Amino acid sequence: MATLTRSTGRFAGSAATWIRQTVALRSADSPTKLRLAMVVTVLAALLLSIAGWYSIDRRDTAIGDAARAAEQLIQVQDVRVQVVQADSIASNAYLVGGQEAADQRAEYDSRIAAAAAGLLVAVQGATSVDATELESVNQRLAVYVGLVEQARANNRQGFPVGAAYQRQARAIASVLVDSLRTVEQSTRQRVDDSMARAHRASWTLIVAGLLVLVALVVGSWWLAVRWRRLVNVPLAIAGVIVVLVLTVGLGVNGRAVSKAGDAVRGPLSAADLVAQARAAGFDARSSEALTLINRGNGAAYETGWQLSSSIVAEALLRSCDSYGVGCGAVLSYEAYADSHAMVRSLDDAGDWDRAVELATAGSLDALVQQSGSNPPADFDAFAVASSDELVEQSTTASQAFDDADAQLLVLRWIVVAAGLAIAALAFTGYERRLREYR
Amino acid sequence: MNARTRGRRWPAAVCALGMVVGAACSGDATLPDEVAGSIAEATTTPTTAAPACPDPSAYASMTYEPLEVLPEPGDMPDGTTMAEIQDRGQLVVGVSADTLLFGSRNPLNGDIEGFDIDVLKTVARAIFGDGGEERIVYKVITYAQRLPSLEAGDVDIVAHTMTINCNRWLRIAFSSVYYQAGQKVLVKDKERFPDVFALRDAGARVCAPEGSTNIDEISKAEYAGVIVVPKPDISDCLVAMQQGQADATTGDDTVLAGFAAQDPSTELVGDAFTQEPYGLGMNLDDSDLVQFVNAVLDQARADGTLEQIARTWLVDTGALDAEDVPPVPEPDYTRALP
Repeated sequence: MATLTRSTGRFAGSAATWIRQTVALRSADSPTKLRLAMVVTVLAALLLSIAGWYSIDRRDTAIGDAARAAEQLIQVQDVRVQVVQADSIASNAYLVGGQEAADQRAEYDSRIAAAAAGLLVAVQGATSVDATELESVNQRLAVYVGLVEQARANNRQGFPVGAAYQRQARAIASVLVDSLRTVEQSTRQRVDDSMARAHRASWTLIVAGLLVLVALVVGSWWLAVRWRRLVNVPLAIAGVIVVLVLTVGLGVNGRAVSKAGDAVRGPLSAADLVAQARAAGFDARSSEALTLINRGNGAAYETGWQLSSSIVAEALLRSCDSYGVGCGAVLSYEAYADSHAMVRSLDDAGDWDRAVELATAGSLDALVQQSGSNPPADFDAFAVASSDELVEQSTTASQAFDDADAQLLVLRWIVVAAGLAIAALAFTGYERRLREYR
Repeated sequence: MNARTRGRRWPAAVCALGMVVGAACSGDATLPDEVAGSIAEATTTPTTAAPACPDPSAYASMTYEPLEVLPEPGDMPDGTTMAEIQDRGQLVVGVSADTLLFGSRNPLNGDIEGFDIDVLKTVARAIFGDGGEERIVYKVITYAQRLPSLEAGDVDIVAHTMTINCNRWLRIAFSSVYYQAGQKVLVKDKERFPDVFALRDAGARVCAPEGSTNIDEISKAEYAGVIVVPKPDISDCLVAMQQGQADATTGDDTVLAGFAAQDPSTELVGDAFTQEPYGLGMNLDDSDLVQFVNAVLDQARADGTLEQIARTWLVDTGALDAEDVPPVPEPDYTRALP
């Protein structure tokens, strides 16, 4: 109780002091008031410099984070595509049988090497949770490669246990791909969160700018009324600068975030969809080989083919409809899907040899040729078309982020300079009035 | 639609305002959701619970009388299952593609070959005549798919190192026995595990294929102590041994001989502890086909074809010594027609 009484007493004392000072200010002489207004305005202008720098820096950092996350997303998706592409080559090589063609082997090796190198880069740009997941992907990739090698070694000796190794490799690849998809999803969230932060970052600049503007307007009005001067030129110029900072600065700031947003909504979204289509496409091609390896009993893998193909179709259609990207790949995938239907109808009708021939090398059969079915050629057309689109969209997205970043780099110095200039002008403006009292 | 996609659809005008204010489009620059994909029609195979065999001790190898007179190839009697197959122009069979010596895919040329396949070719020639083996449509099935594929009518005949037993006779029909196999164990360490009982006493991990009689046998109380490692297919058991997930594999001696040929560090040990009479499986309703196949097998026994097939796949490949190959089993035709 005694403590409460003491606290209440202290508060009452502080309030009384504040009231006394305010009354004293009201009764203070004009030079004192002028000095006080000058200090307040100069401090507000300096605050604008600091808040502007902070605001732009936060936005720049957020856009930078979004750019890095976007780059990471493209990187992780590339690893996924490399892995499913390698698996597709391994499955098709096994289906063909015999000694694996040297160029196919080289292609498989280069995909695995690219996936491993891509993983190293991706780990560096990952959050700690994602890095753990990517480490597990890296370990599984090593296991996958080992299993494929075992399958090959057995196949070369004519040992059917190679098929069991191939199945295991496929199962590992499937787990590995799921892990990569998890990382992709969390990276997409990072892009979205960074962009949301970039959007929120302007408020400090707006508040500081308005504070300075209010200080200048009130100050100018006070000078005009008290000293009967129509315009205090330095304060008026300072006001114009504040308005310029708020409009031009926020405009540039807004354009930077808008440019980054456009990159996310446009090329990055398109690249994301095309990469998903590519990964699902190669997965479908693997499933096609597996339906034939399981001669006449590939129903489970055909279900997998259908699921993957539905992902390809949906991703490409969304990309084509929303961004005008991947429309060519839609057509080439449709052609491949038709060819795949021909493979399935041959296998289902018991004509396994012709189905395999068609799936792996295109058919020499006149009837099949007449139908225009050629799965390897059609799939290659899809692979090339989607790859070109992916590279173009990824590059455009990356360029847009770089541009956004460059704009903000200049802007932050302009806002700091403007704040200092406003402080100097405020000082000059009030100093002129003070000089009249010396 | 969730927040991510909703954000994407904000009108452009609001974002234009955002260029000035710099904050109005908060949260609108989002990436599209991951594409999940879908399958228009989910196809699931209903699983049938295995009925219990009322009298497991009944002699399972009993089958129907063979046809008295084997029809001429290419001239199957009207209204029979054989005529249906002949008209279709295809004999659809369920086989293994990874059981070396009995039914395996030759990785070098993609052909499926082995003991079971040659028996099927004999049946195909009896239906279609010379070149009948070209009319065979192979469906590669797992151990667990053998009975369901016959019940569903997906295949006409299953030749998949399949043991004839009472429980299976409740669901499918069998031909006469064409090979007498026995269950053994394949180990990596012959000194430590000289037979199945040593595996039991050591509490070793023994792999067996799901849905096989082998896994039923090794799970019996007699072998309690063994840790059973089930795998979808028996070739996965060899992989499991090579990867150190299992100390041994149990299966038919025929199949395990194929494994030993693929991995010299493994060895077949001990005596066979079961009798595994192999028969061709057919649909329970196709008793006429069973009778036809029995007549074909009778002929193959008589003219030495079955013996020759056994020699080709078990002796010529070096898997077994000639004296270890069991004699061609005698048929038992005492099962009454349904």
